[in-house]
Amino acid sequence: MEEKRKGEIFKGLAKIVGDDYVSMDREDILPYTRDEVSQALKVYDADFVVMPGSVEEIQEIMRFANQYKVPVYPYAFGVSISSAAVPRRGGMMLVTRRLDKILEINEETMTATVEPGVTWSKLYHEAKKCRLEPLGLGGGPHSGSLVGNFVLGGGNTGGIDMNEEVACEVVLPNGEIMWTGSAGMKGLEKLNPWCRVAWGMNLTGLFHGSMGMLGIVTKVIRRLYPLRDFEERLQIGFDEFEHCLNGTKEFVKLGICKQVYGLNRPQAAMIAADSEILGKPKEYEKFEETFPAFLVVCKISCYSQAQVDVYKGLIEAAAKPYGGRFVQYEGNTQAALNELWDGSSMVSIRYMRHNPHLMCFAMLPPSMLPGLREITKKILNQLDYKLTTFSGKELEYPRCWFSPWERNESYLFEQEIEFNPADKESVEKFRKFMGIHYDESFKYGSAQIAAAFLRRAEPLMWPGYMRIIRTLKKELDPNGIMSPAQVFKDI
Amino acid sequence: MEEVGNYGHYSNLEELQDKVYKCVKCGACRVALRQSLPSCPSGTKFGFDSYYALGRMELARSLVEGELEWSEKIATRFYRCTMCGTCDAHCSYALGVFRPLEILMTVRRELVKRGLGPLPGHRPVVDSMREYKNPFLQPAGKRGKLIKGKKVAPDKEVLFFVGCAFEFDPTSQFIAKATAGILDKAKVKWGTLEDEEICCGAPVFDIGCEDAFAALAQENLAKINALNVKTIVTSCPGCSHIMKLQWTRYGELRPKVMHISEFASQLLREKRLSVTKEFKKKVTLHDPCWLGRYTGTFEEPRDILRAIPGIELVEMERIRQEGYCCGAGGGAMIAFPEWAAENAASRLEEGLSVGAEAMVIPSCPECYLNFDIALHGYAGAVKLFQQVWEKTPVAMRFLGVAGKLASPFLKRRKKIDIELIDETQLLDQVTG
Repeated sequence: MEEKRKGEIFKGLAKIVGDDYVSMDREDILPYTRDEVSQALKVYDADFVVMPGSVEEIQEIMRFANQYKVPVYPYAFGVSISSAAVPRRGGMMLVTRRLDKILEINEETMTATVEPGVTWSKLYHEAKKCRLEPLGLGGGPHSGSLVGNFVLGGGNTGGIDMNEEVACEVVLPNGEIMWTGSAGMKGLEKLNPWCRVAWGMNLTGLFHGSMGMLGIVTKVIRRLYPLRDFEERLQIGFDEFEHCLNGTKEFVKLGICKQVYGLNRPQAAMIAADSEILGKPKEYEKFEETFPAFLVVCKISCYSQAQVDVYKGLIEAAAKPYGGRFVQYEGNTQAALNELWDGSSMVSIRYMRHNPHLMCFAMLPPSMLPGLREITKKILNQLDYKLTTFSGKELEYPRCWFSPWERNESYLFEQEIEFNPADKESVEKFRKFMGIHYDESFKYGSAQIAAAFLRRAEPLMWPGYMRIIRTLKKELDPNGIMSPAQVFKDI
Repeated sequence: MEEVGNYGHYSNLEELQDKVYKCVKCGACRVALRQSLPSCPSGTKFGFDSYYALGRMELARSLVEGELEWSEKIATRFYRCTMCGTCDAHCSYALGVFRPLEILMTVRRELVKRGLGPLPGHRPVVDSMREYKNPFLQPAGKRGKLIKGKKVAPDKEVLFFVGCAFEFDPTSQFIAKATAGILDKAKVKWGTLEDEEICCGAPVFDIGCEDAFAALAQENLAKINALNVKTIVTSCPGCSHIMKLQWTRYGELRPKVMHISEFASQLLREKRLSVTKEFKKKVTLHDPCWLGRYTGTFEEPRDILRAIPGIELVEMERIRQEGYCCGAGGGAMIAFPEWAAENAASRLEEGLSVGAEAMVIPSCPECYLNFDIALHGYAGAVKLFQQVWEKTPVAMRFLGVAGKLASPFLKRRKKIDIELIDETQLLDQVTG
């Protein structure tokens, strides 16, 4: 950006938020423009980072950005990992996390109203005081923002239903505020909105997964679930992937699991291992071998021990035909696995602890997961792309986890493709892998949620689908300031 | 989580090239585990990611790759850090594949090598350390005046290492006297180095002046190893951490090192010290970073409080490994005194929020002075600097600023109605 214009914009932003909350120093901007995966990708720069402290300041910034035609990339905590929150066309990183309140936990409607600066762990911690909890990321970083996850399109793993958000407040690109859901009637937002579709179309869904293209989400109302006296964690081991998936389908059909999530052996080991053995390959290998080929962890929520016993019996009966059996560990290993379900724990982040990697997402019916896994293996072999864990042993298949995303209709399946950013050859292979894998996944028929996939997917989308998105985008954001090129190449 | 003080030491960032890539920006460094309360003083104050460990890791990576130049802006972002180690504790638990403290300290050392560190606010301390072997511009002859007639002799089992702050800072000299009182009551055979004591090196270590630190470490090792003592007791966790974990990089230290809370707790267990009075108060305990997180000393200060009848201990949420820094460390109190005091104020308010009437500090001169500033303004700091730094133009400029800072700070801060208690003094008062 030309210096004079940059200076004017800086002054304008400083007038809105104050000198302490805007910077054009590269040293301040750079951390926002990179994430884990971007160590292997082309990186871009922004011109400013700005941290508004209120919805009113956000509104003013949006009006200002339109006036000066400055791109705006919203950013809460940036734990997207998959380049969903990085800038692509300069402009400003609009960091929303100073808005950090849990505005309400409503025990009657079992909902929480949160601002972008509320992390998963904060909501878990506070909701627990009312014996409630969100259905959150069984395997995700609890230091991330709920609102950020909503805008990314994630926000729920292993829940029965991915429709967890009731309504949201949005600052539109022109600075106007709106609410969705039953708060869509102006004035009703003061009451706790109770419904996603009260006034016709589900506009809450429109902003879910919008990646900042259509406005800045400044509040989300999310469902909460009761914490019962017996919140049990069960671990079921399987020897074969297809058996594991079939068994999992049966658990889900039972309708008694609060959350379900499956890991393959190297993934489970990586999460459960103490840091002491990470640098000891032989010890680590032995530790890995204590896990079954696939480990499904699920949570049941019961009123009594008797109910726990009944549910356990049902799950065992569902798993047994597929070779499933309960497994239990001791000491720190079991403690780490227990913590996966502690919504304010950081143990779940350990799946990221080996090398930087891409979380290769796919969403597919469970019966299609093995096919995608084979496709991944084939591409890795073609490229002679080796993956290992701390044991140094070569992996036949990548570390992975999967979870019912929408009941049994679609499982989120994540394969971890690691690379060494200090090794040019590794980075080059990684880039090649990404390109081939995206194309092959689409051909195979998997749906995706991450920005990277959508940019490639556009030519394959229904014309009507893209027409609706482009029309909305043009209407709401005529100057194209909101996250340009983040989702689609030209808007 | 293990103590964080045992991180590796490197002289340049290239040696850590592999490690700087390991940060996955998970954000564990930003929040207290399981409470989602703020855990990073610099991030909480300055807001941008460049003031959290994850942002600093990104800056370090960019320096290694040549994408950023070493500059004053880099120096500001790395020196505006109290080196409290919370990021390291969280990262070790969440990932366990690299140590943020290694990278933070290495960057500081490189900044010093490149002439970008220490910051102007630190320079009087560094100059004083090089010339006088203490941070307070006091010639050697001025040392050893606080505790007299106790020069360590071959029959002594304990060396009481007084420490520069307790020797020279009027705000906390009483703590050294209380320590001496406890040692006498327990009939410990103890002595000091008197005017032969020199700084342990903590102030220069903290800001990355490794060569100045090395010289002090080596001189101290030679001097102390020549004594017959079995144990070194110090009331300063800066000294105890440095002796336990940093001197040993330059040679073996034969005596065992104990902070006074560790030693006093042992004396109580061995019944060499008895509590004879009660102390009726609802108190909370602040864990100094160098005592708690760096060296794993959490229980001994609590054991001491539990031994005193009448004390009701109410714990804050951010304690032990999650203990929130007072804001003074890493050279922050010297270079950014107002930020340090603001941080201390927020910690005191946290103590108030759990219903405590007093905050007990297991002896730490930096914590104590910083909390004192937060409660009473710059009166204590001005007294300290007036007494010891009146010779230098830099100090005079600081005094001018400190005087001016005193009144707006006092005017704009709300009164924090909590008492400050040093634990060693408390123990001295209740033991017979």
